[in-house]
Amino acid sequence: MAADEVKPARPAEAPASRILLVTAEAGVQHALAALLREHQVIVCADPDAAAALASKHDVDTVICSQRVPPLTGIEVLRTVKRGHARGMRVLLSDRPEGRLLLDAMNEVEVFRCVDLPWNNAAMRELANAAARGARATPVLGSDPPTPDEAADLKRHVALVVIDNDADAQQRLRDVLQPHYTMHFANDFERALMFMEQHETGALICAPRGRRSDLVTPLKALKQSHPQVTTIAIDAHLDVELAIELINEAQVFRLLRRPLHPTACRQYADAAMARYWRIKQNPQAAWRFAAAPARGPRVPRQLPPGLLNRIRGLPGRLVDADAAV
Amino acid sequence: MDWTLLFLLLIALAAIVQLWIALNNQRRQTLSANFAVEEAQQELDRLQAAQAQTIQVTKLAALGQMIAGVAREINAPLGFAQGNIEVVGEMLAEYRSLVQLYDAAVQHCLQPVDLLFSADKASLDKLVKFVEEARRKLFEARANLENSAMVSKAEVLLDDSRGALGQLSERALSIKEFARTDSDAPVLTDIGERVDNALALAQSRLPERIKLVRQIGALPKVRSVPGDLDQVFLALINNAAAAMEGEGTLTISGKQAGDRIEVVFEDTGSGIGDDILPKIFEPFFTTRPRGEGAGLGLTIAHRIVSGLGGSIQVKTTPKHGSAFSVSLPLGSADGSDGR
Repeated sequence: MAADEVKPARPAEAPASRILLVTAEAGVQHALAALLREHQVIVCADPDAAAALASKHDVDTVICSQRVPPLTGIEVLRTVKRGHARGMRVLLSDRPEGRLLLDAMNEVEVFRCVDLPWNNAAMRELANAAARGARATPVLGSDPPTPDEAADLKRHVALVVIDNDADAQQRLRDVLQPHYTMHFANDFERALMFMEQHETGALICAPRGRRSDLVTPLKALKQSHPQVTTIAIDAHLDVELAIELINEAQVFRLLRRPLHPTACRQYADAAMARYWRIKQNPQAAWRFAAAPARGPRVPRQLPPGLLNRIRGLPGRLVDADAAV
Repeated sequence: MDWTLLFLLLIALAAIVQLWIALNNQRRQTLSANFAVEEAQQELDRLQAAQAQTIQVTKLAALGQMIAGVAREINAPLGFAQGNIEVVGEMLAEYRSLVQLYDAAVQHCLQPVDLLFSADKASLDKLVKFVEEARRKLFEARANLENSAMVSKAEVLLDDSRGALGQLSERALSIKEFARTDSDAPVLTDIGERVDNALALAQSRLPERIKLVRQIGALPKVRSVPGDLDQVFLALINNAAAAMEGEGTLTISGKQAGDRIEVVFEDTGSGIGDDILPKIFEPFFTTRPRGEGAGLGLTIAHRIVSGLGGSIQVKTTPKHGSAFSVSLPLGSADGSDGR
């Protein structure tokens, strides 16, 4: 069924795309329209009209300010997600709070969260990456897997948990073990050993624990294997960390401690379903490509052996050409 | 007779001695009292100096706590202006290339002029075609230049950048006024301006979930050190923000009541419990986690306001919010403050 060597082919260079810019701030309108002039930028100051405009112009990307009175950026992007799922969603955040970023991740599934002031080069790269993701890849449906697919998922694809907290492990075991093949590891290296041997669809982990820092390995994993979905667990949502996790590790969901069984189940189901759909449409993985890490490059932060092992993980995606 | 006189003299002598002793005691007591007054005055001076120093130290500590937010407030317009200037630079380069194309078209048009003089009929026909082509190119290049929105866009970006830099300058001024140490001379101070300055400094502490309502019209001025009033208002704004964990509203209103100005900071936060209320003006009392406040904000605010002949009153309802009312005497141009 799966061809291990298949990996999503990199889409052609970024085409000029259509971008809907939703902001009431004239300065941001002027600056972004000028900066992204190679793309077709449609400016909208009316948050209620944003979703309709996104569909009407079939835009590739929607960039929205955190505040578009009387709505919030999250509310605008939520309606855009419902009405025009193809559009990549980007939030411009100004003094964001943890709760906003939680919604940006869990509800709106933003492609990037740009903390103001933006960097011109990074913003251009973001627009190109969003254009690549939107144009060169199919949109994934949100239907849950069929019973047959769910049975296949349970048989072939594992859900890996990396957490030292015994209570959290037990709770996840209680909630998820009946539905998925689970593997529990105390550190990333042990999880990697398992992932080398077994197909893994989703990873649940605490990125910044007392004894371990998984942020860099997660970034490296996402750079090479955007199809593996990750759910982060955090007790205190640090704003900087949340932005880093969204942009550079494309974390799919964020679970707050203490873990709530319903949220655990919902997020795990959504994550595994996402993996399954990407597995069937490998090109769609580019919709979830992580941004290059800022600061010291990932290779410098990880032991070379570990980085090579992450990069060398089998893709296990379905070869679309072979399937045809 | 002599004995009687002697007896009277002795009594008088005893009275004089007693009087002298009493006077001496009195003088000693007066001296001692004077000394005590002097000591008390020195102590008072020391305390006043210490208090001024405490106010300044607290002010700087408050600035220290806000520094991350302030840096962010400065960085935002700075980054915005920087980004715009970069884009304008790129636009200028693009415009320059349009001008070069126009120049090339002009050069192209000039070439046939040299050929005109030595042309036969066939060459003239070619020349006509050449000129037509040259005209077209020239027209196109000219149209490109004329239609290019780059110059007007660049002007808009530069204008926005100017605005951002102005904002930056205002922020810098806010900090300067807040932190100034030459604070001994009170001046006629506009309450609205001081509230705005404190709000600018506290911006990073006021997340978007907190709605801000400012209801301060034109009010007579009070006599104060501007930075001190900033400190008072900043403490009240910070406390209000900290009291509202979820969504809430901070309403700042000001009015004249007789010969006083009243500024009220009303929040819809958690309110203050009866057990805590009597302690809120006590030094080092804080309900915030360690490291998030020294517990001197309200103490210093109270001292500053008392020093101006004013008062701070608080009305609170647990779970519904608090209203801190600052009452200050009107100031007069001659330096009297109405007290």
